[in-house]
Amino acid sequence: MFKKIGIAVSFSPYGKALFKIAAFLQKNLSAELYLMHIGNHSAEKENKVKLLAEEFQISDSDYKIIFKKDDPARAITDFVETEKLDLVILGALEKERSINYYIGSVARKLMRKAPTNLLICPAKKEADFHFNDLFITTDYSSRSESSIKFLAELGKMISAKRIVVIREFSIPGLAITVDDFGSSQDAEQSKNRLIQEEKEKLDFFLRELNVKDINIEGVCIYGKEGFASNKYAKEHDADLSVITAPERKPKLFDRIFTSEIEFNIKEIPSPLLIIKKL
Amino acid sequence: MQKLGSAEIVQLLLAITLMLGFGRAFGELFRKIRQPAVVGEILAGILLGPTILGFIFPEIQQFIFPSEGLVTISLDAIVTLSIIFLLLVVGLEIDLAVVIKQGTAALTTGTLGIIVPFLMGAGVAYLLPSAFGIQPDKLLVFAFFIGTALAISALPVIARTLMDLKLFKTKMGMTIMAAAMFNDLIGWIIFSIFLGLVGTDSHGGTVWETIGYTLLFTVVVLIFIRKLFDKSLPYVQSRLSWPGGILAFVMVSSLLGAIITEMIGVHSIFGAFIIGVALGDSAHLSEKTKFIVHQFITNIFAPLFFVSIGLKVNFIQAFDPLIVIIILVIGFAGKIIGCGFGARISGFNNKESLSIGFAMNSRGVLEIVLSLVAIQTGLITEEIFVAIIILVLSSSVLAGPLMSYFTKDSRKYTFMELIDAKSIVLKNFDSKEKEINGLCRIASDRYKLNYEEISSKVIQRENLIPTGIGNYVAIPHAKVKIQKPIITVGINKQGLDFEAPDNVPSKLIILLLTPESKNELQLQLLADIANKFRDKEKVELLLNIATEEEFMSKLKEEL
Repeated sequence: MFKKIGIAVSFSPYGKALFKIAAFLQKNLSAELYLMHIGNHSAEKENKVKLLAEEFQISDSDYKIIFKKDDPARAITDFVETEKLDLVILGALEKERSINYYIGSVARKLMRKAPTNLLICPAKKEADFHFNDLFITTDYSSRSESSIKFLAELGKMISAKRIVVIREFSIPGLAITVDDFGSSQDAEQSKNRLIQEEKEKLDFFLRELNVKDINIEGVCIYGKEGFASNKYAKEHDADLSVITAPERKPKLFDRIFTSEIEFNIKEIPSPLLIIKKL
Repeated sequence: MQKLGSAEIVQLLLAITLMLGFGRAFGELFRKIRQPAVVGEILAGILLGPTILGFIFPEIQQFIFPSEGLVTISLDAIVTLSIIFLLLVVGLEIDLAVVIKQGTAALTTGTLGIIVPFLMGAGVAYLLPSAFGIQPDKLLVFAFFIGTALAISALPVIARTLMDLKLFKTKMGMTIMAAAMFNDLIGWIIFSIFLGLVGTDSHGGTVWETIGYTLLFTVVVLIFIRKLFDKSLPYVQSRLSWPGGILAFVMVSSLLGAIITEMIGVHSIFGAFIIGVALGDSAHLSEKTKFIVHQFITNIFAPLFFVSIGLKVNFIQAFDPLIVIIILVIGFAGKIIGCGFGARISGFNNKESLSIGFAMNSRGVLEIVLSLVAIQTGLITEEIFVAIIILVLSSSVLAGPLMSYFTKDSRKYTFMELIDAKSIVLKNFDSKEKEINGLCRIASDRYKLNYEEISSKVIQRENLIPTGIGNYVAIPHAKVKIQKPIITVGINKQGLDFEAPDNVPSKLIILLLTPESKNELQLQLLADIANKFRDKEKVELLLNIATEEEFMSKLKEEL
């Protein structure tokens, strides 16, 4: 479980929300907190961080304040490596500006470089954060299986109400089969048959996971991978979305031809946990 | 200004009516016999063209499809419009995120699937110009043409075949689709370079200018215009009239792309294709919208274009067996070797690689359009044109059966394919451990497996979560060190407690062993078995047998 948690501290209006989440995790997981600010050290800034920690009832012995001067992504990555952090919490705008989309925001750079799990939180007021409904996607791989089991443990520790496992899939090229199928109804029928098969597989997958003491549900949706699950999570008010980072590091091409993980980072309606190592 | 007179309008409408009517009718007919509609549509053109109608009733054929004049120009304009829209739908289905996700296997298969047939085609054309009747001054461009014409696979035929064979969602199916999409994109880029080489009438630029403009247009559309589409599509689909609004949006966009590429010296169809890729990439373009665009274009515009191919030449007069054989041999060999080798070095086994090679062997729109441009610019003879069309027809017709044959093994992973009388045991073991051990013994003896290892894994798994699924069925299972899945079945008429949710003792115990690395295959087989035994009455009927053979034959009857 997360025992060493870093927080990228900013003094923005929404920065408080990160403290709320950090305090919540610290209490439930008995973790150590590293409050990292990237910028020049000053007594005033340090005091501000201390006041925030106090506001969220984080006791002095449970946190350390760190100041680093460098490119934010590089500074955080270096610190993660040195201190072997299990999780870094950072803020992100709900929607990215186009330029950041291609050049790479701090969150994107961290996702590529930081060898740890990331919790990216959208710019929202602290009152809007709860951790009742946790949504996670699966591709049935062993890595995804481990992520779900891990999330189940986390869910129990933070008293979450349920875990929703989403299996999303699409059939590239389905529409071009319409002509030879004769009608879109026939192609639709083929699609529905595949969805049914997928539902049955998901049921067995959940059964095999043998997760106990937390409510776990499965949902099978047809749509572009990454986009469909993100939309579903948004529509169903997920409190936390979880994805397993792909083994391959995302590259610029993944942004040009939006890949699965890019859809999740592009628009973050609720906190997004990216599981990179367990 | 010249205008179409009433008689010419009648002539033009008659030509369109016949092309569309026969094209659709033949397309439907071929669909009924499980063949690609495009094959029927081209054959309809051969029937209406100089080959058959022109041979029997030359005057009638010339009256309906004159070789010059305003009617011909008008018909050409309609056919050009048809190719533009056809390329739009080809582009719509290119999903580069899928190509990237499939990674090295798709890229290697796709790349070698272009390079090998290209080099083989271009090499043979360069070394044997006399066989093709080509002038030495055109040799290099001709070699480039043959190489390109043999290198590109037809995505629609591949998609349909994969769907028919239920291979779409397998690793092999996804690799084939991704490789074919990559192949298509590269193919159309090579096509525009080819246009620079042949220097068609309106394109005055050099080859390098053509390449530069092609790449510039591709980058601008795929990076910037794509974003614009992504933002506009939700609005267009929800606010404008349905489906008229989205159809108009998609078609106007493709025409704009076509205009721009034609103006900058790249062929108009390339513009429509890249606009299709940009639109199709948007997650906001719903499947329903794609269906509608496809239905509209493939039923109206595609037949007009494919029928027009048959109207171009006399297929019997221009049939040269030597050229046809050369094109077929290098066409088939190049593609199967290239893609097969690409798949092999990407980790597929020999049989799977061969299946991928055969799947990628089908040819389609690109070859036809390319040959059309080549014949119009005088680069190739009618004999070569006919040979390429025969390659398109034969590879499209053969893709399904050949792939079906070579993927037999990969498709055997269903309950019914994995079971036979030798893997069934009719015995009343008195405990579930003994039952599982008995079934593991059959599997280990038959497939030379380590009995202790598999038996302990299955029992360990059983102790973790009991595998009774109800309706008298239990599926003890485990992942073990094997290459292919194994099923053995125990019939225990007394029944054993596998803690099924319906509390009914399990009498049909199905042991399932799957390879350790294949998580999804285990789920697929578990789901398949559960699905087969959903009906309790059928299971009761199946249990009412006296021998293993009787069970097997009842199983075949009932499921």
